[in-house]
Amino acid sequence: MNRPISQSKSLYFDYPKYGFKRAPEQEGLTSVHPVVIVGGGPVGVTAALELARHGVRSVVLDDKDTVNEGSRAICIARHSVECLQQLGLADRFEEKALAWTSGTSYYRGKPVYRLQMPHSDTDRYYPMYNLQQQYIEKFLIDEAHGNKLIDLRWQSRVTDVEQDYTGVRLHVETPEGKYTIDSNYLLAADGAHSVVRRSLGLALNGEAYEGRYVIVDIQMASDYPTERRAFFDPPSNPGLTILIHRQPDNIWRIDYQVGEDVDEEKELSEDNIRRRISAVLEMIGETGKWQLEWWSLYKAYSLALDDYRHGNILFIGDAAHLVPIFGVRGLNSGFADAMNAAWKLAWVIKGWADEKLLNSYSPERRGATLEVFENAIKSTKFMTPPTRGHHLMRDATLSLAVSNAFARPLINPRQSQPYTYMDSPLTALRKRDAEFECGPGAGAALLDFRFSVTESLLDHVGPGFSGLYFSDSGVVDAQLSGLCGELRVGNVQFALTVITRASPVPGSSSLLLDVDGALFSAYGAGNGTFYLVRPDRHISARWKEIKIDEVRQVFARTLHGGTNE
Amino acid sequence: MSKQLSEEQLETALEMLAVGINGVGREKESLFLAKLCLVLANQLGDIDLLEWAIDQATVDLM
Repeated sequence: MNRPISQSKSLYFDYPKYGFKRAPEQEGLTSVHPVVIVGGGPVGVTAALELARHGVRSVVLDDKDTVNEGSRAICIARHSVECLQQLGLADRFEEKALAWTSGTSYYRGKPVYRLQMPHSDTDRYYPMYNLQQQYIEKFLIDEAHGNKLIDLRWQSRVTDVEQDYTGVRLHVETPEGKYTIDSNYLLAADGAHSVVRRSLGLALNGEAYEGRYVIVDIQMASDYPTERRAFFDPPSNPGLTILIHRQPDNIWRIDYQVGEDVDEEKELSEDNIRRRISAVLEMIGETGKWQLEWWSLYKAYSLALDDYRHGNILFIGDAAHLVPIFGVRGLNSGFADAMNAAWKLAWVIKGWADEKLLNSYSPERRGATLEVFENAIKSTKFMTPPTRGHHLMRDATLSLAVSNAFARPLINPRQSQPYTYMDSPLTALRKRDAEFECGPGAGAALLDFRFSVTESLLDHVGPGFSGLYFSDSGVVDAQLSGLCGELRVGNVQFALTVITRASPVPGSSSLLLDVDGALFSAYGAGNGTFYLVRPDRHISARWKEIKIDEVRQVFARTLHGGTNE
Repeated sequence: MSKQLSEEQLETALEMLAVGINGVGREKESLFLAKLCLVLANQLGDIDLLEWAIDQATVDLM
């Protein structure tokens, strides 16, 4: 339930209008598309852009004629920005978004916990950014509209989906009639109320939590810095919780918990919301004028499909799972789903990898969801204690944290982190991890490292598989050079980046100078260390000293979905 | 259990806890006891021992 603000009346955002265009299928032209994506939200369009980056066409179907309404998912984690960087959108995102690294939690008005997310000069991106979802969607859609491999079809509502062993058929309703469209694969990115999921008779399983939050955006000029503020049992919401975040355009997100016995209709009346927000603003000492922009009611869920792949249909984002917002894991998980599913699908469609590669999607991303649940459940129990016992111990923790440091870590909101695909069929040679003292292990996301304001390690990673080779001399011998040639697939080069502490070899474009050895240290590397990196920038395997034959085997095994044939 | 109070110390503990509970008043009694448990659990430094203690406190609630 939310307040459907008239889009023309938004205080800060001009909602674009995406017109309907007749589909080729409506002109009698039929073809089997390689991929159809249901859902033109941030997750679906991210998947379309990632497919296009690998040269694969897709059709995106969405029943709306604009972006989703309201700010929705506003906290974007570093790993998601790295995904946007891969799609060429990070600069536009950073220009608009507000970066933040810290937060404060209060108990009955007293500060009890200071959140400080690690951030150093070698980090290219901040650990967290705030940006309204409409902007993110618009940036992605603008990019997709300019991409010839993406066919965005607005005002096109999918009503039913069928699949057999040959592929998928979708039934679509438009302002100018119905049509069917056939595809080899389908990515279901159609959100919490997924039509694809319903058509297949699939259900999300898991838990719903008692606590409800009213989520309100207001516009207000304030100098308060960008950080997360959490208020437990504050004077303006006794016994309950409030969260406050700053967004661009002087928009402030105020989430306040409502009691179990409240009447939703009364609680969500505009007068009541104005009264509640006034009380919150008075509590935090904001005395300036403010205007109401948007509001919605939120209830926490930990729900997921048992399997994210059903034949030729892969579920991504909220269509696959619903996670509580505390810890900002919803859209951040969705981005990772989209990138994971899309590169695998692209490589299978291009014939560069065996169809078995798709089998790794569900274990990897459902594994990520289960880890998210584990953390989110802890956060949710703290934010909205489900029982009297939990409530009492939560209050005891907060009360102790005023003067006792030992209790403060229990207040940590456990913000979103990239997941390590430790148990994935694609993650190889974990025994080699034991040879390292630090650095990202097999299955982990690549650790970015900034060399200058505009350049970081991510700029040197290729569109397909990549290798990081740490060398004292910077010289690539004939064996490694030959291996790189062997690992070329289709028209995709294997991108080798050599990291050296020596002077650069003239004419080498893939050589990174690590004068002070900081990158060597961050990766636990010595002379000859090698990291094999997947297209989604997760580590396939790593070797303290490169073993050419093993690299070759791991690469081949990955393209066969983690099997040996 | 490796470390226990002497009978005399236990009597003192009983009195201290009673005075503590009386001091915070009925309204704050539960919160006080919950805080006390968390402080003691942390000092105990043994999750198995805490589980044993919870079990002991749970039985015979008449």
